[in-house]
Amino acid sequence: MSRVGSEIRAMWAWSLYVWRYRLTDGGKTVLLAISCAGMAAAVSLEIPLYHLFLSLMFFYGFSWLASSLFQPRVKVYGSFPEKAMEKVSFQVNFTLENLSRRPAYDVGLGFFGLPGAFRLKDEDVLVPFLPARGRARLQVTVVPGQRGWYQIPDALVYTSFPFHLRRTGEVFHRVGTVTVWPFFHPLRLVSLPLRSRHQPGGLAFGASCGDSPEYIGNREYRPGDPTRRIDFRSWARLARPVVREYQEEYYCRVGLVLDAFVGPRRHRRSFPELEAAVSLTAAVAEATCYGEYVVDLFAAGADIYTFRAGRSIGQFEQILDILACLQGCHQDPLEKILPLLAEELSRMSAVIFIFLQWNQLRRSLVRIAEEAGCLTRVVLIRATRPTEKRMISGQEVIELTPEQVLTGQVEKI
Amino acid sequence: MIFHRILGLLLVLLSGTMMVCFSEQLFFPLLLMLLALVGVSGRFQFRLSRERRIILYLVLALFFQAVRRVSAYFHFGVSGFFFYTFFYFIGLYFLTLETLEFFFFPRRLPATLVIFGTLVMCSAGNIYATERQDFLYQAFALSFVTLAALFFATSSREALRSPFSNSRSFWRTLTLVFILLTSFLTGQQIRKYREVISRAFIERLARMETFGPGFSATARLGSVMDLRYRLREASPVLRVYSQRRPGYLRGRAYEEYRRSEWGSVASRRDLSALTGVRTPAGRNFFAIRKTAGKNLLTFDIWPAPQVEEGMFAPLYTVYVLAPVNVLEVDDHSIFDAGELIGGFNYTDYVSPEPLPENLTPEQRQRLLSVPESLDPAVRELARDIFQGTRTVKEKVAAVERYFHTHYRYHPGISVPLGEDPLNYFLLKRPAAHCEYFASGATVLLRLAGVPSRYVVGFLVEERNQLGGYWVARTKDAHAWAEALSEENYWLTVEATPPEGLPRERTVNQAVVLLESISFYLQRVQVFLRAEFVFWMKSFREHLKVSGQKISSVIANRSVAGLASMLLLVVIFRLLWKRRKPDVHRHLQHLLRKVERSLLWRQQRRHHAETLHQFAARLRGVSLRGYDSQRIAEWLEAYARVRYKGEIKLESLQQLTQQLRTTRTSWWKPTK
Repeated sequence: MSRVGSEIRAMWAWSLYVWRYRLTDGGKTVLLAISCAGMAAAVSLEIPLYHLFLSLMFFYGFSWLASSLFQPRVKVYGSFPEKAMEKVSFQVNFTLENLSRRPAYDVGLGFFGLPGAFRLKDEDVLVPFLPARGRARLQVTVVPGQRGWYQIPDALVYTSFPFHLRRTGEVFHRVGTVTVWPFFHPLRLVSLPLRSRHQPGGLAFGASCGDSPEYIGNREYRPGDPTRRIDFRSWARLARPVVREYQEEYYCRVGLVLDAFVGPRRHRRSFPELEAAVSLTAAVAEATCYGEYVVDLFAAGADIYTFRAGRSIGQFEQILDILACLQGCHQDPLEKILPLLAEELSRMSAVIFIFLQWNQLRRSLVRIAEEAGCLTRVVLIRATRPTEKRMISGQEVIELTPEQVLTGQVEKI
Repeated sequence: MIFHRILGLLLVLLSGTMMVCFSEQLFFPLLLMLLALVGVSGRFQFRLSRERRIILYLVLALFFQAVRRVSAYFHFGVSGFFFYTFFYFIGLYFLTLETLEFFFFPRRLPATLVIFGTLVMCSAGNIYATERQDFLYQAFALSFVTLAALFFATSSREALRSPFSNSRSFWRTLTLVFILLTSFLTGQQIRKYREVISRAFIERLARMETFGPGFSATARLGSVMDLRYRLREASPVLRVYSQRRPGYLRGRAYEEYRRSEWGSVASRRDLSALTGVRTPAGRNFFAIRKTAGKNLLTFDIWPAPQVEEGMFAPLYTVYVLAPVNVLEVDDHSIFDAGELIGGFNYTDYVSPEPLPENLTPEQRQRLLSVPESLDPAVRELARDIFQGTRTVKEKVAAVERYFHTHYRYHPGISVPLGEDPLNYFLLKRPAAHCEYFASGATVLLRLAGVPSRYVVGFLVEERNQLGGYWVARTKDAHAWAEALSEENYWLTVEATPPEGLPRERTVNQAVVLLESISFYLQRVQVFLRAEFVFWMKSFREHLKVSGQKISSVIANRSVAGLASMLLLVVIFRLLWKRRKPDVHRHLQHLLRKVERSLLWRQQRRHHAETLHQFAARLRGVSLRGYDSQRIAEWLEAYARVRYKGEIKLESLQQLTQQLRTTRTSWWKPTK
């Protein structure tokens, strides 16, 4: 019985596949028309409806036969880009090479079972004529609708010749994966508190500007300082380890803390506040990475990422990659990461908090950051407009709505 | 894209022309065709969402139904060739939808145009066609397919760039030619042989539908054979729950043989249900015999849903419990009920002991009559067979022995042309099947002076172990004879050789399982039907009466009907509009609410006092349950919203939210 069941399931799946992907709208229409005409014709042969039924049957049958005969032997070159931006359409150019000695007609590429976040601008893009052993270019416009990491299913190379009723083809072309970065509007960081801070981990370079490696003096050795900076003469003189200090080791290091707590029993994807927070974080990351700052610490949801070891070049892309795959948390992640975060904050010059909630835990986190000597900026994204200003440690909490962020009304923070 | 739309227009013109040709009604189809001509350019567009389009289509369907009811076309007869005027209106309806597509889609036309076209063709094709009309319809069908093919071929953007270029067009045209040619030739052949095809098809359907042969008023020799071997042999016909093997279940009994078929002239009478007996809901008790034995056996019989004629019971059935009100019984104790629904069960109560049956002299005479066509040699044969026998039991044994020893069983018999089958069977002794043996035994016993009859039914030997019931399949259909003993008991005479008897057989376990499931579903269905059948009946009756009333109102008072339709459309349209929230009303409501609350706290706004003045006055006042500062701010905010241009919904929401912040603890007055 289980075998019979699996057979039935397989047949159902196959039928569904054929109906959804192998048949065009025209094909579906003709099949429905055949059903209608068949039912009407089955009443009696005294009425001439069987002519219509026969004509439609032969129409579909011969179309199917012709499309099978003209099934293309085509090789495809080209693939989707590795990165794409949410809501920004991109074009992919594929090259089709006909391997057959016969020309191919109405050849198209079908991306069936494409993730729901992707939308093809034109459903059936066809190459009307592909000469024997010849090549042709086919351009597909794709609009990714939702950030994330997606496995793109293999593309089917098909022909819908002669009457666009059925997509016939067997050649599958592997396309790959796409990371869709969140969409963001450019942002200007106004009066982000600047305070250079020593970074014991090593050198780092800003994307566009930085300090010259100028000797500025000596200071006491701190654990983590490289040994080549030890000033042995001074050590001998003072009887304690002393290192030389250069300007380049001081940098305005920024920490970004993104709250991903969407609350219990909420769907992770349908949470506009989170999407707005992700978008704003991306905008802030771009403003910092390409400005006079280095994003050294990035806390997103329940994970903390530090970019201290590397150079700041490429950090922005890494942050976008993380943001692309970020999902909302049903349990408050700050409770979990607070101790580790508090430790890391002591090395930051400034911290930008992007919160979805405003409660005691978050207030205490901001206070910890301030006590650790960081200058802070707090952004709170809420669905409702604020009725009164919220203050913490003498500075205002910037409250924004998802609409403001997603429609680009926020130009600076 | 205009090429694609022109092809769509041609499809509409073709459908419209066909409607005109077959209905001989010019006005409306022509109007629709002209409308399509206007819409082909794509200049006149009505943008409707998909849902609204569907609603519009439904409203149009109602409109056409109303028009059909009130139109003169309906009342004064059909002038075209249509079977039913109903199809004319269906055709018009779909032609309208086809035309409307031009106004809903400014660029590429949807594939539904072809579906609508097909439905117009189906509606228009409901004619008893003459030779010329048949040819005309075929020409229309082929043209329709040609246009549909071109319509689909030009549906993609790329295809439109070069619709008739290079070898692609050649292959496409060739395919189309093949399609048209094959359709034409096949259509011609079907038209030529349509009677043969129809007959074969109808016969096939008839075989699938009925289990009737052999159990009707007459029984042709060979009809039981048809049931056993030519129809679905393995289909279960009856399922029987009983303590013992059911054996012979009688379906019909006959006493008169004429022209190679058995018939019955037995009188039938209606039996009323026994009163004062407690029975399950919807079921009644019937007494078949006046005398009842002791320790009655029960046979719960479940016929298959297809078996709608005949009820089956063993010999000596005394009572029947069935879901009917009246039971019809004949002289042979064969009973039937026309109102019995296929698939519903009934219970036979059977005496384990033989019960005597008193026959009238007429009945006895009928059971002794021999066919007129009987060959005199058969009488000599009977004399030889029954030589030395005295009692009925001995005679029965002699006739059984004779057939078992001198005959072979074979499904089917070929009787030479002009020969009487029964004479041929008895004198030439060919291999034959049960009906011949039963008929032969009946006639021979009658020649020996024993009243006897010919009986058909099922011989049930197979048991479904899984379900715990006995199964009678079509292949278990059987014929036998019954002879009346000296004590007026009926004896079963089995003259068929043992190899021809339905016997117990091994059935595949998977089949057993499937049949058990199917039977279980049947029982569920019977239960549901039994529970709801009366409710459904009454509901249907009610609906029918209401429907008739409504339709008569619409038909008789056409103007009132149309007006009510229009009214419905208007109401629908009004309800359809999304109601915008009335912000002014809401705003006033908010202020009234606040003023009422303040009134409770002895703070009344004077007639000449503005909101700002009122707010200023409230600032210094203590208000229980309200923060006076905040309430004053709220009043100012209200004034700003109310008197500063257009009132937005957002502002209203903001005010509502702000109002919530003005409340404080009830016991804590603030300043």
